[in-house]
Order: sequence, then structure tokens, then C-alpha cells
Amino acid sequence: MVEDGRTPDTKNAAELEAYSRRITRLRRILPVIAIFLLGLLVLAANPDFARKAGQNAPDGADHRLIIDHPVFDGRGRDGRAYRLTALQGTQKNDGTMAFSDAQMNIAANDQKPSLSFTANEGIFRPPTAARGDTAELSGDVNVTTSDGYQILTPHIAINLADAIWHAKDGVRMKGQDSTLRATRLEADENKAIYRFQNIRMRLLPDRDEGR
Amino acid sequence: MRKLTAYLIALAALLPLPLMAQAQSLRFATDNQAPLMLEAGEMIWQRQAAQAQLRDKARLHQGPLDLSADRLEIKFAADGTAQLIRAEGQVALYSRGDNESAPRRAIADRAVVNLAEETILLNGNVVMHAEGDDTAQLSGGQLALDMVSGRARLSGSADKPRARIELR
Repeated sequence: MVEDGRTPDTKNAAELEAYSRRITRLRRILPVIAIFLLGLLVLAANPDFARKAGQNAPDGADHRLIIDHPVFDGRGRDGRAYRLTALQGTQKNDGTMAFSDAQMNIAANDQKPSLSFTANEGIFRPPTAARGDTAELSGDVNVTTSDGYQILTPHIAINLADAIWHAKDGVRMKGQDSTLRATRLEADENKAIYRFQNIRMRLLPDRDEGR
Repeated sequence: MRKLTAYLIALAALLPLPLMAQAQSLRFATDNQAPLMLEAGEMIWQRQAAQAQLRDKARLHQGPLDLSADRLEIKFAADGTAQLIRAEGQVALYSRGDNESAPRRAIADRAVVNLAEETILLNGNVVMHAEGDDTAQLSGGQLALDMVSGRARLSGSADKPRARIELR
């Protein structure tokens, strides 16, 4: 038998000491790891922490509720009913609803014509203490009025309660005998006032009533 | 005697001028078939009042005619067709001219473009001259322009009963 120079007792003592150090270290680290893993589990279980809700969330992300053919009904301060419908809506974490293939109608009354909006996408924001219902429509927004006007714009923000809408990215408007381009439009439907900026309008005079 | 004759001839030649100036007939280049183009920095359309106000570099042009003013106001008919355009503040009417008429410029306090009757009426301190000719200037109370024929008529008004020709 070959001797390695160490006595069996001292070898065992050194191994025991190293083993004991490892155990002590693990006993310190394991609770920290357990708490960390538990924390991760809590975060993963709560979608509010998973990702901040965004308007253009990819499919499959941040979906709390998907509704086919959602319908939002309401009434403005002037008593006119409005209805917002879409092909599909997805509720976001902040309570807003993003939808595709949106259509919105504001009913006519004695003095004002009806309005119809269509757009590729939209967002509906429920009322808060600071403001009423609001909606944003984007992507080939087409507004038609029952008295024969058509407005085309890439984006519209609508305050549904006050019937005020803004188109900040430029508009094209067509009337019976006129066309108009403007860089911006602010419309107050209650007062029937439309404020255009940097306009270029083409008018075709009514020649039938001329000489 | 010769001097007297020459003087009388000169006087006789100048005599018709004030009479002519009472109702000067002029011509502006026009094109009533061209579409009316309007431009402005801001337009407020009051739908229920059937009118629109244009401000900030407001301009109207139709073919060779160009009208600029501080403010333009469009009146619409019930069917939404533009019927009347009022111009106020530093009104300037410019015609680029054509084969039959020289370029002309007229300034006034106000103007009314009647789209149904196809006329333009300039009112208040009307001053007109042919472009590039600063030797003669016509002034009067109002200038009526027929947008079909291009004929214009300069006449007096209550405060300026006669049109004037000023030779420089």
C-alpha cells in the first residue's frame, strides 16, 4: 500500500471543513435565490409589470380583452347620439380600447348634419375626471357629412362629449363645387365652426344662376 | 395771335379729358371660365351662418386676375355654392394682361366679387394705373369690372363725384 503522506484523520477533517463552508454559503444564498424567484413569479403573474401598454402593441402582447365587433354608444353635450363600431377591439392595460376598421357616426339634429367617420385604426379612451370620452382615428380617415362634404386626413382626435375634433396632419375637403387643402383643421361641431390653417381652395362658381 | 390760336387749340384738346374721366371705360384681362382659387393663412368657416372668413395673406385669383386683401369673406348659398366674396383692407386687384389689354393694377378700400353676376366692384379711394406706366394714374370712387368681357368702368361716388386722370 502506498502512503500519500497524510494521515486519514487530517484528510477527513479538511474535507469536512470545506464541505461545511459550502453548506454555510449555500444556506446564505438559497433564501436570496428563493426570494428572487418568488419575486419574478409575482411579476410574471401580474401583466401590469410585464410591459407598459402601448398603442401599437404587437399581436399577442398586452391583451387583456379582445372583443369582436365592439360598439360604443354615447351622447354629446348637444344631445346628438354617437356610435363607434369596429371590426375588432383590444382593451389595453390603461383602460383604452384599440380597434381596427373603425367607423363612427354622429347623428344629425335640426340644425346640424350627420357625420360619418371611417378609419383603418382607432383608440377609444373612456372618460376621466379631467375629460369626457375621446377617440383617435388614424390611417385613411374619411369623414362625410349628410350635406355633401367629404374630408380626408391621416389622423383625427375627437372629443366626443364636446364634439370637437382636430386634424393636425393636414386635410383635404371636397364640397359640391369646391375643393380645399389645409395643413390643419380644428372643428367645433357644437358651434358649427371650422378653423383651417394655410388653406388653398378651388371654387367653381354656380354658372346656372349667372347671367 | 398765333400764340392765342395755339393756346385755344391746346385748351380744346384738353377739354374733353374731365368729361371722359367721369366714366372711364377700360379693359382688364379676365378669364371667367377659369376656376377661382383662394389662399389664406387662416380660414374660419361658420357653417350655420353660411360664410367663411379668410385672413393672413388672403388672395383670390382667377386666370389672369389676382385680388389680394387683408380679409376676405365668402358668402355661400343654401346649397353651399359660393355666391359673394367681400374683400376689405388694402385691396389690390391686378390683371396680368393679354393680347388686348396691358397689365393693370388697381387699389381700393373694399371690393365685392359677385360670383353669380360675374362682376367685381372696387369701392373707396380707387386708384388705377397700367403696369409700367407711372405717367398716368386714374382715380375715382368706384371701379366696376365685368369678369366676362373684362370691361371696367371707373366712376365717381358720393364723396368723389368725378373720376380723375392725373398726368405726371
